[in-house]
Amino acid sequence: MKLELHNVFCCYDGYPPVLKDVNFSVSSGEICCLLGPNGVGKTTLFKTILKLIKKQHGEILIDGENIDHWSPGKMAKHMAYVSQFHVPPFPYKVRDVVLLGRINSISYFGQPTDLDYRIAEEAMVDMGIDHLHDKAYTDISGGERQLVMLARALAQEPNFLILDEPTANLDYGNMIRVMSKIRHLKDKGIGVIMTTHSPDHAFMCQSTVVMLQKDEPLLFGSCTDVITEKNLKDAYGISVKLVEFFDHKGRLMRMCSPIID
Amino acid sequence: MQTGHDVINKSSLHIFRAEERHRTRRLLVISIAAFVLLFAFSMCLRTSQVDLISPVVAMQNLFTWLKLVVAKWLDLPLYLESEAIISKLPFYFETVARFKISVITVVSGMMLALAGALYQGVFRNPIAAPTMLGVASGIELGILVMVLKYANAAYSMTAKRYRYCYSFALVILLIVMLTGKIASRGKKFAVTDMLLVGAAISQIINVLISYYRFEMEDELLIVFQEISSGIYINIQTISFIILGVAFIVSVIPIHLLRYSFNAVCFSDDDAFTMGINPRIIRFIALICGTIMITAAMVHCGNVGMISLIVPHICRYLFGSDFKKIYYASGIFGGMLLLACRDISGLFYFGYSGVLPIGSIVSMIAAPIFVIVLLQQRKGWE
Amino acid sequence: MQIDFGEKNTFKDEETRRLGVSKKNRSIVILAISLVLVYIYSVFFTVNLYGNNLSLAWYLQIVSRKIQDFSNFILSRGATNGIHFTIFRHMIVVLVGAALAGCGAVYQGLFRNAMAGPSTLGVQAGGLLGGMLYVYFFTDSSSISIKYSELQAAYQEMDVFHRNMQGICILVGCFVGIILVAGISKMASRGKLSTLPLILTGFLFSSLINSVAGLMQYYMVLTNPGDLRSNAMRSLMMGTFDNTFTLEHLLLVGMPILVCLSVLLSLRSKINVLVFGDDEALSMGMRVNLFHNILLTVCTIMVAVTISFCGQIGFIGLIIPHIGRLLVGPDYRVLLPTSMILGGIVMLLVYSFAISVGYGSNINLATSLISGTLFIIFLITYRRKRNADWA
Repeated sequence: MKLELHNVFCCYDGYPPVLKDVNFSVSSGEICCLLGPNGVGKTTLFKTILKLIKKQHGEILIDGENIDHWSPGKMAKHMAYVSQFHVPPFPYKVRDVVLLGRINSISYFGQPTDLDYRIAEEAMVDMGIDHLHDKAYTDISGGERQLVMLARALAQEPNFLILDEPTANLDYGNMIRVMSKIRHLKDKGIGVIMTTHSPDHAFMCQSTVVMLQKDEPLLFGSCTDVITEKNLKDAYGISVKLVEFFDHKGRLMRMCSPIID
Repeated sequence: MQTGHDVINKSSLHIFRAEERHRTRRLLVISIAAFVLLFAFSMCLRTSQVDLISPVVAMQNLFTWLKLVVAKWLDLPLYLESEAIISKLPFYFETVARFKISVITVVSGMMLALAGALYQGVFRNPIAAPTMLGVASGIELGILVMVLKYANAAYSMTAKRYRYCYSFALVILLIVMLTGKIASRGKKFAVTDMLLVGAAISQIINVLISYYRFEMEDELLIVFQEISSGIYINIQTISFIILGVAFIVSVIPIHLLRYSFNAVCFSDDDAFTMGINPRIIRFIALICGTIMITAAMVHCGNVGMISLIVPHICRYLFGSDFKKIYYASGIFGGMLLLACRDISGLFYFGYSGVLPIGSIVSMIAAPIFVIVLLQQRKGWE
Repeated sequence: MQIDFGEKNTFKDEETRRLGVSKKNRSIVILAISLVLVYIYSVFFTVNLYGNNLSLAWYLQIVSRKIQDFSNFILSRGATNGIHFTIFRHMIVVLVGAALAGCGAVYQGLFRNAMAGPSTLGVQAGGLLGGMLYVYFFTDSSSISIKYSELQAAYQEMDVFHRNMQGICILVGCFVGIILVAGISKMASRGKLSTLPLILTGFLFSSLINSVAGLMQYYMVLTNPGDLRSNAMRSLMMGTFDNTFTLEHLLLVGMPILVCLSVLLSLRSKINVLVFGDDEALSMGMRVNLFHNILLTVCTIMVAVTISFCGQIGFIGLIIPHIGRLLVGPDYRVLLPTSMILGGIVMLLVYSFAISVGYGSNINLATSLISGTLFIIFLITYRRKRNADWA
């Protein structure tokens, strides 16, 4: 499975294009991090890929097939989306939320079957939140909520997972936990596209990187190629030092350390 | 978070699911039993006095009534002796009238509660009751116009009442939703704006209605008050037919979609990416909800507050899953409205009337509404 | 006070600041002059068009007769054709308008919510409920009488004891109303007063009162058709200036309102500080709670006075401060007097309009229809700007 974007221009209705000429591709079993400063249009790009807003120009292909005329149902079979933080107004149980991921295969008039329950339960176990199953979604912590949303997306059994800042508003521990779960998704053969504010996350998942810049063409490549001190300086306007070291198992690790004058 | 020690394996999740299903079923059975008991009790209440009819007599009366109805349909000879049979039974007409009124009340209560659950679900707002969006004042306006036009005859014109109330309710709802949309710049589905505009428009209509109440002649005022506050409930066959049709038309789509309504609980974008079109769902819910609430309020008067509170009671007892709320709010809505009807029958004011059902409903509903308002987890806006 | 709490809340150049204030003072003067003009206009020119054919000659004839009446009244000090009643009544109209608008401005500042006002905060609804309950349970037809004044119009009079007791009930009702509605919505929005709970609680409260009034009417008609209590309720609910026109009435309404208005005016720079938040005000060394309570009490008393004499007059208190804010900006030192004068002008215009189309004894209908529509428009623009909740 391969998701490709060719010359995509995206914008909100009636506004000038936020992003011009976007080209990149993601295959299943691959993680792609979207980096870029605030307001550069990362969420807009996601919404364009998901057809939540109309794109102005260009093509989005899945396995060579144009998705323009796909129904929401067909879209949902291929792509799942976890948006930024939100709380539903009613205290749904965690397992009900995860089960909602199955709604695409249930169809409008159906009821969840035993199979749907089992898939939802597997997704919960996968994300390590099965002990929360009886809690209200409104009562659990932010990190747990993010995992619940990931489990919901997983229950959808998509080929591609689109995550909008999965680590926003999380404390350090929860952030690392969520990242390790995302890395785990890669092994399941799901293609993950996510936005993040920290280049370290790209190193953490060994991902490919799309770096969006204001008024300049985007950069696309493996994390070691794209995340360089010069590119970070260009994109964010700050000086960053890249550090390389070996962890206790002898693996090469990279990290960014900003330099504050 | 996951620690490795407390991970429950899949089979135990399975057990949990079964247990929960069992618990829900038990709760449902208990509620249905309570419902039946309440209904039986209200059969035994007398309409004009604080007194009970013996349950045996009540059953006998109802059974005879049923027999006679069937006999009339099939043209059996039993029908010819009906007067003789009826004259032997004590409280016959009272019991039958009570039964008919109770049926209308229960069905209206169910529809109100369901409409409330629908609106709250699709608007993602715990206080987005149809009453709040101006539907109730539209209906009252409809009744007002009708009374001004037809005076006393308005009592028995159920079909015409429907026409008036539906058109006014729909117009007001459309105005509210359009203005709400303008207020939010058409960006998102802005419930808050609609609620605000709905409250403002309702208040203006209320002033208009109270002006006409003062201007009206005394006889008209009595007609208007009795219809609009549910003191008078029409029990002609035609009202059963119309109520039945409205009930069936509006409940069938909801029944079929009962699981899918869950999909719109997060956000429109989420629903879209899960493969459900939230606009279709919301459209169906709004149409069906409005049919339900208008039908119920045409029959039972201003009892819209039921729709605000019953879904909250059900959510407290059964959890947030719409499928459960759907069944539960039907039962509890019918039960609560019937209970209010029974209570209202216990009070006497003036010489003709009972305390209107609407005031009992608001007396019960107002404190619950305040609790709901205070328990908001999320801040406003 | 060193800091200017004007439009931009920045330290402005001293000179431009003074210039700005003098410019605003000028607008107050202009408004005051126009108030006088509108007053003269409505006293002389407002005629009951209802059922008359409209022609310039007829109109001029009426006006000249009124002016004649007026000169007779001045010269002989004798009442002729009740022109003095018109004068007193229109003064009351101005005072009531000023009182409601001033209250609205103060409520909006204190609760830091653009949608606060006597009608939305439950003050009017509560007072109405108090008054109606008193009328229903403690008076009977004999304590209310319908009379005819020299203006050839029916008016209703309650005996003194019942009038005073009703006034007390209204006052208590006003306080209960504001405590209930503002309290509940403040608790629901966790401290700060948000618009949605405020409007919804207020709406529920007022529809409750509406249904109570309907019920009372229903039972009165059932038990005793032609009950004069219904009339008393009508003047409470629908708002009317028919019952207040003598010098005595003017003094009874005017004294408390003038005292309250002057208290508000003398505290207006304090309101400015309170608008920016209790914590800020506290850190500036203000006794926040004291001022809050004084201002709220004064406003609520004023609303109670208007209700007990002229009944419920909705939405004026909510809309006028917004118009004032458009004219002179949010600085309370200028805004408060502006709102009061504007309130007087608008009330006069609405009253003249209402009596010329024959709805003079249902002021609330006119104000609700006119300002209710305005209210929805303001609501929309405020929501569009996304600063519905200040701060």
